[in-house]
Amino acid sequence: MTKRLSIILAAFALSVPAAADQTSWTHFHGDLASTKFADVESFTPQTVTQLERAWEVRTGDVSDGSGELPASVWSATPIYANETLYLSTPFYRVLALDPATGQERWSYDSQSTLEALTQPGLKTRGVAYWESGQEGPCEKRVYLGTMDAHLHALDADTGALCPDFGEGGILNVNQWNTVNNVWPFSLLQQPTVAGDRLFLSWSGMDWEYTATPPGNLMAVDARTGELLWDTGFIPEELIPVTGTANIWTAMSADPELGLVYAPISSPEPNYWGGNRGDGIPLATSITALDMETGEIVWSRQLIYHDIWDYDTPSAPTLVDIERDGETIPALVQTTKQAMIWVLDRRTGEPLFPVEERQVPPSDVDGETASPVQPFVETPPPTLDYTDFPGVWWLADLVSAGQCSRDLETYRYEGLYTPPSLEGTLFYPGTAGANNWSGAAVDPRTNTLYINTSRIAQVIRLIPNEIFEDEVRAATGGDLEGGNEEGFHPQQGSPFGIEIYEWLNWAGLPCWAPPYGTFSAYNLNTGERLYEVPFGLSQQWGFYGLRSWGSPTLGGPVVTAGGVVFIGASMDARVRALDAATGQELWSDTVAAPTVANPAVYTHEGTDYVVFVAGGNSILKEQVADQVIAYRLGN
Amino acid sequence: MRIAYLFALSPAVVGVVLGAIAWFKPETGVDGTPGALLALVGALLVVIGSLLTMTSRLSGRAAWTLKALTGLGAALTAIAAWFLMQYAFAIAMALALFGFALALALSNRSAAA
Repeated sequence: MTKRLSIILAAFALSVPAAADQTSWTHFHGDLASTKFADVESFTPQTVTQLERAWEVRTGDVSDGSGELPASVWSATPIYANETLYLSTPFYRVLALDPATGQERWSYDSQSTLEALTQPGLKTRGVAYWESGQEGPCEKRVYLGTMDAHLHALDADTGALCPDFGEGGILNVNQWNTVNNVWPFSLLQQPTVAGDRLFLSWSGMDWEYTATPPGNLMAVDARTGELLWDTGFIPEELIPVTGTANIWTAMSADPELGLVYAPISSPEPNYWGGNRGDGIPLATSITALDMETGEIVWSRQLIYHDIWDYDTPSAPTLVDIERDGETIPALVQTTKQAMIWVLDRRTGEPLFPVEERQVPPSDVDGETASPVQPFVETPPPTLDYTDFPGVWWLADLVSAGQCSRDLETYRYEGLYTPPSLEGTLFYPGTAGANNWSGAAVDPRTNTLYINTSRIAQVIRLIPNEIFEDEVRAATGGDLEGGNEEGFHPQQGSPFGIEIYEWLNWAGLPCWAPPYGTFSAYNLNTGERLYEVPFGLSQQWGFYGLRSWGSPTLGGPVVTAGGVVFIGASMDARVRALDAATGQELWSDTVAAPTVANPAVYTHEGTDYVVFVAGGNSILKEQVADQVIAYRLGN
Repeated sequence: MRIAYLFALSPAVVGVVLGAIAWFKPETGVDGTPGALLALVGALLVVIGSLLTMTSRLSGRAAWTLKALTGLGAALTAIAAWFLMQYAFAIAMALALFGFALALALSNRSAAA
C-alpha cells in the first residue's frame, strides 16, 4: 500500500513541473505554439469582478513626440520566467521586476540611439528568454533587440551583459545587412527562442522605398550569437528591384517537428508591383523552415502578388485539430484580409476548402494584378468583406453628403480591388482586420478567440511627376514617416501614395459601424460561435455607442477558468470577457490603449494578469509608460 | 424668487468640480481630452449664467437670452458629460437644468402674482 502510494505521489510530483510551466509566460505569446492560453483556473466569470490592481509601474520611458524624441510606441508583452517579470521599454531598456510587487530587481540601458530610424516612433514588443539548464552566470539570459539592429544578451539574474555573446554581449545584426541597405535591420520583435537557437527577423520602413533589404530569417546560437543559417525569401533576380517580404512579427515553432513557422510580409513597394516579374511566391505567405538547416520545408502563399500591404501579420497558433477521430497537427493563421487559414502544420495543406476566385484587374500602367486570389471561408472570415458596410447616415448627414460624394469618386469592387489613381477603398484597411497580436486558442476545446477591426481606408497612387507638387500643395512639403497616414514616395517606383482613413470633416467614420468586434470559433468544425461588438470608439474624449465597437490593436489571452483578458481598444480600457459569450465581465481604465497581448502567470501561488499600457498612434494619439498587474482580491 | 436659482447653481457647481476631476485626474478615460475640457467650460458657463440670472438686473430680451443660453448650456453639457461616460457629472448638469427650469417657473409665478 505504502509502495503504491509512493508511486502515485512520485507520478504526481513528476506532473507538477509540466502544470507549473503552463502558468509561466516564457515566450512573447506565452508558449512556442503562440496559443496565448494560460492554464489558470482562478479567473472565472464569477470571480473576475473581484480583480484589483496588485501593482503598477511607471517606467518613465515615454514620449508623445512633441519634444526632441519621437513618439513612443509600446506593444510589449512581458515575459515571466526565472521567477521574474522581464520587459523592454521603447527607450530600449530592460526592466526585471518582482512579479508580486512590481519592484525593480535590476534594469539595463542599452544606450541605443533614440531615433525613429525605420518606424514613425520608438518601438519595442519586448524581450526573449533562454536558459541552458545549467547553473552559473549567463546560463539564463534575456535578449533585447534595438531599432539600430543590435541584439543585447543579458544575465537574467543580474542584468549584466553576457560577454561570450557577440562582441562583449552585443551582437551587431546589421553586419548581415549587405544588400540594398537603405535602413538598419530593426529588431523590434524579440527573437523566437527554440532549443539553443534564436530565430531573428527584422522590421523596416514601409511605403518609402522600392529597392530595400530582402527579407530573411536568421538563426543564431543563443550562447555565442554565431550565425548558423540565413534564409532569404526573394528570388535572386528580383533582389535589385524590390525588397522586404520579411518577418516583422512574432513566429511560432514546433520543436517536435523541427519546424519554425514564419509569417512573411508583402514585398516592396507595397502598393505597386510592376517590377516583380513573375512574382515572389514566398511573399505574404506562411512558410515553414527546418530549425536545424533553414531549409524551406513548405510554404503557403495567402495572397498572390500582394499590392495591398496585407502582410501576414502574426505568429500562427499551433493546435491539434480533431477530425473523424484523428488528431491533426494544425496551424491557424489569422490575417489582415480577415481570412482564417487552418493548415496541416506538417505539410501546409489546408484543412478547410480553399477556392481561387476572380478579382478585379488593375487599371494602372505597368501593373498586372493577379487575376485570381485564394479565398478560404471556413472558418468564416472575421469581417465579411463581401458585405461592405456602406455610407453611415450619421456621418453623411453631419457632413452634408460629403461621405456619399467621396464614395462616388473612389474605386471599390470588393476585396482585392487594386490601388488606383482615383483612390481605392481598402476594406479591411491596410492595418488589417487582424494584426500582430493574432488569436488566442483554448487547446482543451480548440476554441479560437479574436478581436477584429473594421476600418475603411483610401489608398491613392500619385504619379512621380506630380507627387512632389501634390505633397507641397497639401502639406507644405511634409512627408510622414513609415506606417503613418499621409504621403509616401515609394522611391524608385513610378508612383507615390497618399493613404488615409475614410473620415468626414468632423473626423467621423464615413462607413457604418461596428468598428470592432470580438469573435469565437470552433476550430474542429470551422463554425463561428459568436461575434459581438467590442470596446468603445472615442473621438475628442467622447465615446461611441457600445454597438459601434472600437478598432483594435493588441489581442487576447484566454484562461482555463473561461475568461478572456484583452485591452486593444481605443478607449484605453482593459477587460475581462466571458469566453463562452464574449460579454464584458469587468474593466478598468488605464493610462493608454494596451496594444499588445497581456501576460498571465502564477507567482508564489497567486495568479496575475499583467498589461502594458503604451499606446500606438495608429489607434489613437495617446501614449503612456504604465505596466499594471491585477490579481483577485480577498 | 431669485434665490430659486440656487437650485440650478448648486448642482452646476458640483458639475464644475466633477468636470475638473474628469479633465485633470489621470485615467478617467477622458483626462486631457478636448471633449472633457469643453464640458468643463460648459459647466463653468452654466454657473456664471445662473449667477448672472440670480444677481443681475437685466430685463427684457437680454434677460431671456441669458436664461435661454444658460438652460441650453446645461442641457448640452449634460449630454456631453453622458457621452464622456462621466455619469455623475451628467446627472449634476441634468439637475442643474431641472433646477433652472424650476427657478424660471417659480420666478414667473412670483412675477404674475
